[in-house]
Amino acid sequence: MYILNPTSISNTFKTKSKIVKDYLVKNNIPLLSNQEGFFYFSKTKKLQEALDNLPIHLREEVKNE
Amino acid sequence: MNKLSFAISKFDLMEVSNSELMKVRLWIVSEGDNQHEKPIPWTAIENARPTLIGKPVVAMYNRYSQQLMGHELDEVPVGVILCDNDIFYEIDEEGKRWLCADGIIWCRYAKDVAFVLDRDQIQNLSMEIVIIESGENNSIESFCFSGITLIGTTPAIPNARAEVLSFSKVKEEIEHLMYDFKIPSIVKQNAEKGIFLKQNNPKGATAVNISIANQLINNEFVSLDLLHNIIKFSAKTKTETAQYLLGGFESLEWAENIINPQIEKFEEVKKEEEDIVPTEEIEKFEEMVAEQQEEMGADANVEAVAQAELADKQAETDKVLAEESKEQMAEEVVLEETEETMAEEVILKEDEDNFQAKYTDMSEKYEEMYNKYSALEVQMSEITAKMSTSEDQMAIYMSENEQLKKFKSDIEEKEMLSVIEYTLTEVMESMPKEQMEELREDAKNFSSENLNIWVNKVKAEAFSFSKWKTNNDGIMKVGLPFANENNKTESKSLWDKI
Repeated sequence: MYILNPTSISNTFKTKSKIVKDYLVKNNIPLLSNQEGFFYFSKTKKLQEALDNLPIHLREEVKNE
Repeated sequence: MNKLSFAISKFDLMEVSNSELMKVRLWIVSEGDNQHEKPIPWTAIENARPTLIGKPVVAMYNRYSQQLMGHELDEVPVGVILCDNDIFYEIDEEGKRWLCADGIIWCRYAKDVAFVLDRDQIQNLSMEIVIIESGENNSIESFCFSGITLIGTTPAIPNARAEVLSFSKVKEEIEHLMYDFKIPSIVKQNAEKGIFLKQNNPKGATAVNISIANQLINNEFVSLDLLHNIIKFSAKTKTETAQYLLGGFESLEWAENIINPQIEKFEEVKKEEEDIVPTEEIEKFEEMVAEQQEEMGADANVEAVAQAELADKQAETDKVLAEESKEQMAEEVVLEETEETMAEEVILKEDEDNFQAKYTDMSEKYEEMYNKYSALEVQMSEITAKMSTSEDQMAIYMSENEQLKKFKSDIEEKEMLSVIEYTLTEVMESMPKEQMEELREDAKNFSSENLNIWVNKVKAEAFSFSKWKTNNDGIMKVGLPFANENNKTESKSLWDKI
């Protein structure tokens, strides 16, 4: 399921980093949307677990946004 | 100047055209929760169904991994969902309702995607949607489709997939649909039993019943006409033979189970059609009635006269109708009889057609068998010819072999005789002639292989005779304890040289 108007829904996590997006997709977290340079993911338990276990260099990328 | 013409039949054109398309079954969206934790109610899916028509199937191929990618900004259309007839609902093994569609992939313009689908036969899928209304608990209450994406990553809706529809899958589906029309084995057995009973008790074994029995035995699937006939003639059967010829009680139950729902459906549709009366016609009818009432009210006397006339006319028409009904009753009786004969004729015609079809099949099979048999005969004649030549060659080889064996035995015998004579000449001086003759006789017990034993035996015998023999030449011979240097042979050994 891929949404073309992600701003119409709440409870999402968005990132500009393609590396972070690739890491999350590789960890079986489906991409919700990709609009205007942002990658959107639904805020779920699975996403939270993946973010908690992010590698250090990716954690820095998320922090810098 | 001669013109060149090329004729291509419509069938060839369709075949070529279809080879450029690949049909895929798309399991798009199911009711309930998904990995985004944004549940979609079934009503929202039903409402979004019409927006799926004409929408593209998109994908992005990664030539390095030779897999499809996820949702990308530069994904390209690779196919389409054509029309409403291709969209339908399905229930999966877990009992979940799915919105499915049969999509088409353009093999010529999406070679890479067609290659991946052909290789894997199944591919993950994701829908691209525009949300119109979202409800509480993050649920999606209203949405419309903008495309279907074939992806190589994990889909948000578990088990959302695209399956390549092959000929075998279509066949399986048709077989599933035809399952109800498959003649049960018990019905076939009953029909066979009826044929057997007919020989002892032919009462009730009419041509129609026998033909129905034959059709039940010989065919795998049943036609609707035959089911109608089974129900029709089962009601009239009185004997056991006739009952079994029609497939027994199980046959009647099975036929009714198939026919009755169809009749119910037909009646429902008919009722719906009858219930729908155009509102315009009703309005017109009401206007007409109103006009007539106005005219009636204007002239009451005219109405009374008209009523009297109507009563007379009704009495006359009643009489005519009574006579007509009597005639109709008589005609109906004749019609029923003719219907039965017509049904019998139809079934007999079907039998004839079946027989002709079987006869043609049999003749084709016979021709095939005859061709195979003639080919085998040719092969057999070739094999026998080869066998005869090989037998002649074998006889020649055998005779040559026997000659060689004889030659070998002769040579061996000569060699043996020469060895015997040589050994005997060696011991001739020291052995008496009688003893030599005995040993010569004894040599016949030995062969060329174990002749050495005989030679040793002869030498041992000769030694025993020569042991005590003295030389009369007057010279005393004494053996020296060292070897004569002149007799030394030249050795190549390094130790000897040192």
